[in-house]
Amino acid sequence: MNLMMTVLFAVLIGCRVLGPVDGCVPGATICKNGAPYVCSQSSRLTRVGDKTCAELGAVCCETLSVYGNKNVFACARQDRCIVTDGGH
Amino acid sequence: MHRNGWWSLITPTQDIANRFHEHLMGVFGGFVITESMLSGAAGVLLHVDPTKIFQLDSRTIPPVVYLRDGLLPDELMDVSVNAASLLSQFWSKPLEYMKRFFGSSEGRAGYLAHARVSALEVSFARTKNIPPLDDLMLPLKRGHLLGDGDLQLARDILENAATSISQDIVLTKAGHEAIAWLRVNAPDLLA
Repeated sequence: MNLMMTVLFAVLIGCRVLGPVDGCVPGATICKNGAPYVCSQSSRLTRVGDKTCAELGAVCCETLSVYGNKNVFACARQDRCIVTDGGH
Repeated sequence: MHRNGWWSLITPTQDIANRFHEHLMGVFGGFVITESMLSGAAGVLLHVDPTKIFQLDSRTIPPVVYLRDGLLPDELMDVSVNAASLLSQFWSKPLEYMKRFFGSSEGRAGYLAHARVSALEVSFARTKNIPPLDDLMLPLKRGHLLGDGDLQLARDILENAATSISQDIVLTKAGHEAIAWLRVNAPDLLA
């Protein structure tokens, strides 16, 4: 019973701490307001970096991951963009 | 290969590493406690030395930065950038930071990954090398109470950031500040 209460409390606290679910697909990356975000396992978005891509002289676009296994939406140089309209 | 797995072309002197550390702590508002300070204070006040009981790694619980004694210059620089990044995130929204860092492992994973991004930015500026993702993840896998989902989030953040960093894009304030300082004070450490 104590364990169940603890888990319930932790879940409630966790929900309140993190805010509402964004409804994204876990592992997906998107561009939002000119900055890249990644989607967590709880379908919440986490921003990558402190500034928008434009502030860094870059664009938020789909580009090949440096590890070469997939495309990601990230801050990139214009000539490294696969799609330049910024995803979502 | 450096012992923490990061390539480094030129090893900084202890003096440069110390000045680098002091600069970042000054800019980002860190209160530094060293292992010897903690050991001495606890010895006087409590008659025990917690550093002999617990093997404490260097840690940042903003605004406090705990530094283990005997860090090599490369290690001190890495720890300093990591700490500066956490301090930067803390001071931008202190209450939200405390709530998310201690109240949620997912929130904690986001902050810690952001700090590793800053460290990678400086590492890349020095070496032009992007290490394998598994190497970047090593510091996050120990002592932070992160679950599999949290580690996956950190991994996705690091992959995303590494892609930008490989294109010479510096994403974090701590990374910007650290590289700017090196450019002026120790340009030979930059690739």
